[in-house]
Amino acid sequence: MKILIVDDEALVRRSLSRALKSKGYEVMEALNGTEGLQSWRDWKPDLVFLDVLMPGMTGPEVLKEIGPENQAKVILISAFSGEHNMQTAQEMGANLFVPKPFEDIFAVVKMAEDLLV
Amino acid sequence: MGASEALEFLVQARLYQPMAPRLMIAEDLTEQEVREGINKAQVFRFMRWPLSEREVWAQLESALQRHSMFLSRSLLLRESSSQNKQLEALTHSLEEMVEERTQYIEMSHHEESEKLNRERQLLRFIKDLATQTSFEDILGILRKELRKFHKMGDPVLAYRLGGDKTFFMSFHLGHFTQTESRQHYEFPKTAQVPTAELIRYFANHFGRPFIKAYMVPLELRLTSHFVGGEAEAILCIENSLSDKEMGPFVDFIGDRMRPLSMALDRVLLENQLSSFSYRWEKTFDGMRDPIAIVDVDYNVVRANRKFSDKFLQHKCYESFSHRKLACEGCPVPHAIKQGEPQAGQIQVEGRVYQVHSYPVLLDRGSRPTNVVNQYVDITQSRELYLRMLQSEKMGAIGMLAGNIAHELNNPLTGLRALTQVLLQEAPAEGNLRADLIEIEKATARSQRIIKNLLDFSKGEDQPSEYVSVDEIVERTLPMLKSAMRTHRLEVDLETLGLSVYVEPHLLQQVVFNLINNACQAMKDPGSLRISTRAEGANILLEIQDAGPGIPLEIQRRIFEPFFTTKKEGHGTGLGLSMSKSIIEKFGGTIQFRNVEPHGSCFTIVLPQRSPE
Repeated sequence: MKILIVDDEALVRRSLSRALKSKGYEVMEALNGTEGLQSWRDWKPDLVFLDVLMPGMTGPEVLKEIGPENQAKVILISAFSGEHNMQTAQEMGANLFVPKPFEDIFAVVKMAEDLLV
Repeated sequence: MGASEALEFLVQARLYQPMAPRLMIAEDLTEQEVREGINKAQVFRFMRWPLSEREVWAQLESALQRHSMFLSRSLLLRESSSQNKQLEALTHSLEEMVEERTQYIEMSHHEESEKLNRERQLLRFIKDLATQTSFEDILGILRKELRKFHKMGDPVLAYRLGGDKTFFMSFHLGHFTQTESRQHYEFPKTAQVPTAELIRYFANHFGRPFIKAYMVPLELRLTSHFVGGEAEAILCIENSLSDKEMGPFVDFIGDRMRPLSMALDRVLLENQLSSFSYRWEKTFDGMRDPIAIVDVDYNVVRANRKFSDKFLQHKCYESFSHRKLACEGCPVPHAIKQGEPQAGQIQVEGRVYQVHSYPVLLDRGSRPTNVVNQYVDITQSRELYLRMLQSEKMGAIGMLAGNIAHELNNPLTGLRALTQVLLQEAPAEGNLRADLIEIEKATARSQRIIKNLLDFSKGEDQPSEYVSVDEIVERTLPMLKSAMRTHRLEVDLETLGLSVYVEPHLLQQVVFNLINNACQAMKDPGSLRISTRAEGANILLEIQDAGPGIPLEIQRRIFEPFFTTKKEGHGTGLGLSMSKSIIEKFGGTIQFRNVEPHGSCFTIVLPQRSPE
């Protein structure tokens, strides 16, 4: 199973990446929206962790760009939950919305695993 | 002949010639005959017959002498009597002259005293008029004066003040009455028996006949000047005087015309002035804002009712602000110095007034002698403004907090998550694991603080929640760490399992305010005690400091908006008033008391509520 992590925060990418790899997943990281969109198209992941606020292209913009060609499950994550919630996330085409900060990274990993089943 | 015949003869002779001396010669004469001779005939001499020739001649000689003496005496007598008569006549004419003179003098004396009397009466009339202040009194005096003429009606006074109304003052059934009319009729300019039209004008107004009258125009110089128009008055006196009686009456009225005019003029002017000033007074009293005219020493010259009921003999800051010194922010000195309108804000018993001071030049001079102060109560608008400012500020903090939260939450999330991953990989025993646990805890705490900050700075109208007061206190304390750092903190929370129904961020703001105030009240390090407990159906939160306590004189005012003991710029004076309104919004109360040995304690009581 291939999982793409698109987030500008290195520690978030790193922690998610390590937690997922420890579970045996194949993980790829992207530093921003543009890079993320590229990897999404080229690498064709099964699941994408997508941050909302990023310099350059934002998460929702990436989602819009990828459009109906997308085959992957999407978990939208955001530290500024102001305008987003589960409902708006699903309207954009995401499967789940996870607000940052998360209390427990393994709970998030569990959610991802459930989506992939 | 016989003696009796002789006597008869002599009597007859006396009748013919009374002046001729009569001699009687007889042989014998009785005493009786002698007596009769003397009495009846006035015999000059009796002689006894016979007698010698010489004796006869001697007697005749003496008789003739006597006769001539008689004659000359009678001549003299006649002369003197005629002189006497002349004298008498002279005396008589003199007496007549004296009488005439006396009469004349008496007459002129009478006239003079009459005249004096008239003058005296006139003078008294003028004096009486001078002290009167109403039409009624003036007409009353005139009415009394007119009583000395009989056949007099009561006087009627009609006047106009330049407008289209004519006012009538009269006595009706002995009572003074005032009426008015919009009908216009030209008043005569001289005293006269009025024309039939003028009489009809009066008769129409009063609805009764006026038979015979005398009209006297009265000049109203001052009133005309004051009303800036043609004020005129006319006096109508009904009478039934004959033509002969008319003369003195016309004189009488003529004498009184000017004093009457002047008295009436004065009363009218006084009425106008007082109604004028009454109108001004009412205008000022009717105004919503307090207004006062003060002099350069703050003495109140005039003020409206809104300003104060008792302002005379007082300074403005005494009667309005109940102070012993001029109010802080008073614009009066500035207005006097600059000679231009100034404004400033003063505080009086929890109200904030914008004072507009307008300098007034009452006498000719370059410096203002008075200032008109208008006090506009801006408490509410200022409160609204400051609340808005406060809310803006909180909104800005909210925005800032949101941004910071995002910026911090990202790395914090990564930090905590990575720590959790590392904890999985770390060996169960040893320092590494313990260190990682500490890092995880610290990041968790940091996240919580950020979340609290976000909650705290939320705007208004957040939904109410069931929340425990203890939790609110716990969430707030971390934000006050720097304020509390010098003080010893005692926290005793006993209501964790109990909840109240509030907007958490607002209650948090109250708790924040009270703890912050408590810390600021203690200049030296002291102890701060925060405790909660349940009491009946209520939750009590107490925040107690060991500062100096709240002075008695300001205890009544500390919940007033803008009341602050902090320096300018260090407090809005809104904290406690907002706290009070927040707590009351949640159905609770907030109170305070001073505690021993020193300090104050604020107690918040909130009704306990649980979700079910």
